Amino acid sequence: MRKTIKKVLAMATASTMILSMAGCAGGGNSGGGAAAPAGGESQAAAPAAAPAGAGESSLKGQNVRVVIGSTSTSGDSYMIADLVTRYLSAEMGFNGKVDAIGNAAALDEIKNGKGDGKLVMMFHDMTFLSQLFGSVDEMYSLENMTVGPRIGQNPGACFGAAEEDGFKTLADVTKYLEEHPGEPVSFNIESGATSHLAFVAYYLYIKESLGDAAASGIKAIVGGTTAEKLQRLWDRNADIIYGDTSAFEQYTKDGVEAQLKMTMFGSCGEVNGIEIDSMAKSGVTFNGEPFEFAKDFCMYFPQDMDANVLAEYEAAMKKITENPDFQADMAKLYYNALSADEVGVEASKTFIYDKREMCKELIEKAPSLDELAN
Amino acid sequence: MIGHLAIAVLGVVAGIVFGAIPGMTATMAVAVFLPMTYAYDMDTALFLLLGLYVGGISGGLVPAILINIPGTPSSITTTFDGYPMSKRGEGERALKVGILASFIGGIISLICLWLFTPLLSAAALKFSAVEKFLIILFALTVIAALSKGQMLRGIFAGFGGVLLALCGMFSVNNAYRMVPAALKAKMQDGFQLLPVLIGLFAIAQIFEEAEEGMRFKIEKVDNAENSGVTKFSLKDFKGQGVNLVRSSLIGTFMGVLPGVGGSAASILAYAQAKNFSKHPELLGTGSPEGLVASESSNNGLTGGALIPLLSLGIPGDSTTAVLISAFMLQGIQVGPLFITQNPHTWNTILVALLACNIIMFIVMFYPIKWISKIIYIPRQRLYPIIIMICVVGAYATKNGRMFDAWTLLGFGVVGYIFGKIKIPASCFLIGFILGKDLENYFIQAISASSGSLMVFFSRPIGLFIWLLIIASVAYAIWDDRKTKKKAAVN
Repeated sequence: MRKTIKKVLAMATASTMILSMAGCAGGGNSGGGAAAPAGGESQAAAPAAAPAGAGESSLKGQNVRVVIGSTSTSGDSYMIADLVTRYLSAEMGFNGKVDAIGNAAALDEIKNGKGDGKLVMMFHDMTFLSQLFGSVDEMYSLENMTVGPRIGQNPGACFGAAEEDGFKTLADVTKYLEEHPGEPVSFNIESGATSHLAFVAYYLYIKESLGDAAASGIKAIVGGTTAEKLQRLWDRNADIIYGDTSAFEQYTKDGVEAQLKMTMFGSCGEVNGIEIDSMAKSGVTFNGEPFEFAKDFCMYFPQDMDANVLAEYEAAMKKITENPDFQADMAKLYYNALSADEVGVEASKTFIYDKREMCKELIEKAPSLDELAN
Repeated sequence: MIGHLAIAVLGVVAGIVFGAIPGMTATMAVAVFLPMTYAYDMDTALFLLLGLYVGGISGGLVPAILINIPGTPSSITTTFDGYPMSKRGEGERALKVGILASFIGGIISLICLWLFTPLLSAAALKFSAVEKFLIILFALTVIAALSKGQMLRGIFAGFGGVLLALCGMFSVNNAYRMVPAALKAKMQDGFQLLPVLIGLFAIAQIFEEAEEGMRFKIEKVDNAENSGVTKFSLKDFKGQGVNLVRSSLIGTFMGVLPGVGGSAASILAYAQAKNFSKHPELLGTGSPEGLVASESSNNGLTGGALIPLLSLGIPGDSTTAVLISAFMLQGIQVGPLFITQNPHTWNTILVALLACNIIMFIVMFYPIKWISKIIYIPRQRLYPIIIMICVVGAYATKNGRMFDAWTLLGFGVVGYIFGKIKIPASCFLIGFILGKDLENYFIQAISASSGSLMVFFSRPIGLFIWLLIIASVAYAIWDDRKTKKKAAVN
C-alpha cells in the first residue's frame, strides 16, 4: 500500500512538474510575470477577437518572439504589441507571442539576436530615449539595430491637477506662473521617460516666453508609478502629475469626492474620444514649432536583419494599417493607427531618427532634473 | 450559477497549483488566464479570476509546510512553523491549520470589503508615504524578533538584505547602483524576488541535505504546547481567536494600502503574533500559532487589496493590478464611482469571493492528507524534481531569462554559506523583500518635505506607528536578553 502511494505521489509530482512547465510557457507568452502598471502606461485590455487569415511569408509556421520594453501586461506597450502581433500573425502566417521583458532586457535581446525576423522588438520612444538619458549603454543606440515599420501612436499622456487648485488647462498653469513668479508649482514626473521630455519642453517654453523668474517656480518631483503619483496629488504633495488619460479620466467625473477630483490637460496630441487640450493647443512650442509628443510605437530588429524578411514585415504592416478592423481596434483603445505611407520602413526610419534628434536637442537644452528638483 | 461555480472551481484549483509551485505566483496565474476571459462575460470572468487569486495565495502554504519552500513570497513566514511541524510528522495537521486559517482570513477580509470599503479607502488615503515608510520599518522589526539569541547576526543579515534590494537602476536619476557594467542589461530592476527567495530556501536546503546524505527522519518532539498531539483538531485554534482576527485584519489593512505588498502583511502579522504570544519561544519551532498568523494574514490580503482597486482605482497588490485589465476589457472602469455605478458587478465580486474561499477550503482541506504524504517520498527522488521546478519557475519570473535561473543557483550557494556561518537567511530575505519599498517611501516622504527628516515625526498616525516600532524593538531586546540569561543558567 505504502509503495503504491509512493508511486502515485511520484506520478503526481511529475505531473505537477509538467504543469509548471506549461505554466511557464503560458507565463512567458502572455507576460505572466506581470507587475503593477508603471507610471505613464495606459491601462487597457487587448481586444478579444483575433483576425483570422492563412497568411503567407517566409516565416509561415514559425514561432516569432516579440519583446517589449515594459514588464507590464496592462500598459499601452503590451496592448499595442499584442494587437499588432495578432494581426501580423494572421497576415504572415507565423505564431507570434509577446514577451514583456522590460527595456534593458529587450534592447539586449535585439543587440544580440539574429536578424532572421523571428525576433522583433515593438516599443515606443523609450527605445532611443533610454540611451539618450544614459540609462542604457551607447551600444544600444539606433545605429546598432534596424528600424522597422512604425505600428501606431498613443497620444494619451497628459498632465493632471487637483480640481480645487483651479488649473483647467496648461494655459492656466502658464498664467499662474506668470502672475506669481517664483511661486512653486510642482510637477511629478518620471526620470528618463516621455513625461521627462514633456516636462522639460514645458519648462523651456516658460523660460523662453515668460523668463527666468516664472520658470524658477517650476519644480520637479521625480519618480513613482501612476498610483504613487495619484497618491501624491491626493496628499497635495504634488501640484501637477503626469500620466495617461485612461488612468486619470475616472477622477474627472461628477460625483467623485473633492480630495480625489482632478482635471486633466496638456496631452501630447489629440486623443480620440476625449475632450482635452493638447500641449500644442495650449501654446507650448519648441524651436518655434507647436510641441507635440505622442508616444510613437515602432518595430525594431537586430542590425543584420534580412532585407527580404524586413520587406515582408513592411508589406504586411502596410496592409494591416489599412484594415478597418485594425483601425477600429486601435481606436477602441484610444490609440492612433497610421497611414500606409507612414509605416513604410524608410519613412519610419526617417521619422524615428528625426524624433531622436529633436529629443536630443531638447535634453541638451534643458537643465538636469537634479537642478529642477531643488 | 452552476456554470459560475464550475469555473470558480477551475480557477481555485489552477490557482492552488500555481501557488504551490515555487516560482509561480497568484499574479502569474491571473495573467496567464486573463486572455481566456476575452470570451467570457464579466460575471464568469470574475469567478475565474478571483478563484485564481484566492487559490494562488492559498496554494503557497503547501510547499512552505512540507518542504520548507515558500510557494509564494507571502508564505515565507509559513515555513517558520510549518516545516518544523512537518519534520515532527505533523504535516497534515500543519496543512489543515494553515488551510483553516487561510479560509478564516479570507472570510474576515471579505466582510471588511463588504461592509467597510468606504471607511477603509478613506483611511488608506490618510496613509501618505510617511506612514507607509513607517509601516515597512515596523514590519522590519520582525528581524529583531526572529533573531532571538543572535540579534547582531540577524540585524546584519537584515541590513544585507536591504542593501541587496537596492541593486539596480535608481529610478530617480537612472543611475545604476552596485551593478557591474557587464550586468547592466540584466539588472535594471535588480535581483528578482522569486529566484532569490527560492535559492535561499530551497536550493540551500537541498545542498545542506545532500551534504548529510539526504536522510530524512521524522523527529518526534514533545513540547509544552503540542504535548504529543500530531493530528489536527479544532483544539489547535483554542486560544487563537485574537491572533486569528488580529492577523486577518493586519493582512486586510496591508492590502488596503497600495504598494505596501503582501509579503509585508504576513511578516508584520507574524511579528505581532510573536510579540503578543504567551509562549513566544515556541514560535519558529513548529507552533500552530505562527502558522495561523501567517496564513490568515496572507489570505486577509485578498479582500483588502480589492478595496483600493474598487474604490480608488488603485490596485492594492500586483495581482489586483492585473485584474484591472479584466475590468477594462469588459468596458468597466474601476475607480471612485465603481460601486455606485456598477452595483451588479460589485455584488458579483462579493459572492464570487465568498464562493472561491469556500471552494478553496473544500478542495484543499479534505484531499490534503494525501498531499501531505509528499514528505515520505525519498529525498533523492523528490529533490531533483524540485530543483527542476525551481529552475523553470525562476526562468519564468521575467518571461524567460537565464539570468534569473543563475540567480537562483547563486543564492542557493549564498544560503548554504549562510547556514555554515550561522547568518539567518530569513532575516536577510525579509530585508530584501522590504528594502525597495523602504527606500521608495523614504524618498517620496523626503522629497515632499524638501528634505526635512522632521516629516517622519509630524503626523499623528506616524507618531503612533513610531510607538509601535519602539515597543516592538524594546520587547525583542528584552526577550533576547532573557533568552541569553536562560541559556547561561542552563
